Amino acid sequence: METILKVTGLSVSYGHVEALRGVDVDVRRGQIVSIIGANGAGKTTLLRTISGMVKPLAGTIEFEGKPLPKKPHKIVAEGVIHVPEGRKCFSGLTIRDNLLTGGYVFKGRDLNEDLQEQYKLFPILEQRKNQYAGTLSGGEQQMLAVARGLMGRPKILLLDEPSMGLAPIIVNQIYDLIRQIRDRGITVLLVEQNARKALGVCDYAYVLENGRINLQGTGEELLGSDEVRKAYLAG
Amino acid sequence: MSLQILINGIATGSIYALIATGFALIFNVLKFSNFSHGATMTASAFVAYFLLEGAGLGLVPTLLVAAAAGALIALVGEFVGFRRILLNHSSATYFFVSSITLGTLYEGLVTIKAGSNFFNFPRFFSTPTINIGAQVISTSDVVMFCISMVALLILAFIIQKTRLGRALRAISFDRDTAQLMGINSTRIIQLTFVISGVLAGIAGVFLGIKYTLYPTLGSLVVKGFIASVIGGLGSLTGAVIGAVLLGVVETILLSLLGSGYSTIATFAIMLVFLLFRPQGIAGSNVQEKA
Ligand SMILES: Nc1ncnc2c1ncn2[C@@H]1O[C@H](COP(=O)(O)OP(=O)(O)OP(=O)(O)O)[C@@H](O)[C@H]1O
Ligand SMILES: [Mg+2]
Repeated sequence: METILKVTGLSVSYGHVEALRGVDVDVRRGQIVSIIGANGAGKTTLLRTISGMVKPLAGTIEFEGKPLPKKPHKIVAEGVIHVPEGRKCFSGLTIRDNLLTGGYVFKGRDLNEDLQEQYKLFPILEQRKNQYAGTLSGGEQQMLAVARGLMGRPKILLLDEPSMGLAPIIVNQIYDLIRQIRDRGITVLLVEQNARKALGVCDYAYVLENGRINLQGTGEELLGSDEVRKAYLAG
Repeated sequence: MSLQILINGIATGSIYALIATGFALIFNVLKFSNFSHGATMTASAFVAYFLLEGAGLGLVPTLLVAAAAGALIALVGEFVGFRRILLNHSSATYFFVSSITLGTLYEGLVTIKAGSNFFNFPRFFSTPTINIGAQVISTSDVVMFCISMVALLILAFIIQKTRLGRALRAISFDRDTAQLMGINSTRIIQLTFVISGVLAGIAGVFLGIKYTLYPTLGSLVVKGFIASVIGGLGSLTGAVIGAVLLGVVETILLSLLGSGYSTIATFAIMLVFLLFRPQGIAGSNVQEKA
């Protein structure tokens, strides 16, 4: 499979804080690639740099063999869709409007078919389509955030800690969903603290520590590695 | 209470509603109070006055020119006064200083051209009053009310039903995440300023018709601030309700107490509101939730 997203030598700083130091990541088309790491490792920073919200100090990001545009809205138009940490649903917009906002880049296109597709995938969203997103539970908001991302017809979906703060049963639903998304041919770059889950689902994974990639390998390889077991799977 | 006072109050309130919504729109997307809004109203009304002076054109061309001028002024103001501050994520104090500076600048420019004189728009209505039975109501009140309502309905349609409106609402809830949806926030903020400027232009002309044109006319923007506080800051529907209430209450107080005391009473009402219901009529909206 060819590489769809190639991050090379990426460094990012916030003032004096070095959040990423020379990160290399390769994502192959059609795969789920996980990045695991503890609090503050730089996972969110990596995704926000890919989606153009943070400017890198050094390094390149290539998508389908070409450098990504600079502005976030142009990156979205390329099919690189970022579902942010903490869901970030627009709480005062209805569920339907949240979804339509996800399809914002398709100017002048009838989004009804896309809406129906999401409603089929997430029946709960259809039942409550005219309610404010702020009234949904945490799990439902995560579903909405993913569905809203899918409205942008991603080629690659960047997911930032989709299991954060959710009950185990909901987490399982989310991970089933991530598999379904990959099976539809959408590449997934998944960032997680929940290492067991993320390594279980992915085709390839990286371990990010203090802004550096320390380990990489297939999910099984990393699940079997002593280092990963000690640092991320204990308990 | 006579019908005349009521209609006068509602008409005044509908002008306040134009001011309050134009002001609230910017507050919504940028979370700051645009203190140059008042001077934008004055300046656009004056531009329309001087450009069309002696041309003998009617109310509608005057409104169109003022709306276009308001849009242009707001657009330039956004670029000169606010863009840099916005991109640098600077503190709200800078917006405060910047918007006051811009407002003072506009007012200064108007004063250079107009001096401290008062100007009258030409008479737009051949019959200044309408008789309904024994009641006499002013034509301009009725016309201003109708045009304001149409403008507000168009605004509501844009905000609630269009792609632009959704983008604007998304930005007002969470600008970062809106950008992740592919929304070009700079462009949407520009368009928001344009809409706000159009509302300022129309409001400026109406104030000019009602109170004559003078360089500090824009200080009436305070009525818009009050209305949007009564309505609940940031809520457009609240702003409209607050504005109409304010207009009616003010007009009634004026007829009962005369101009001096009615102003004091109006401000007293606002203080009471701030004390007992700082969240305004619309109350806390869902923005704070989740
Ligand atoms: N806006 C910011 N300003 C300054 N420092 C920041 C900012 N955002 C992140 N950082 C710092 O950069 C480092 C990496 O943060 P980042 O949010 O990318 O970590 P993370 O791996 O996503 O953590 P978590 O698992 O807690 O979400 C941390 O030290 C953090 O404090
Ligand atoms: Mg994070």
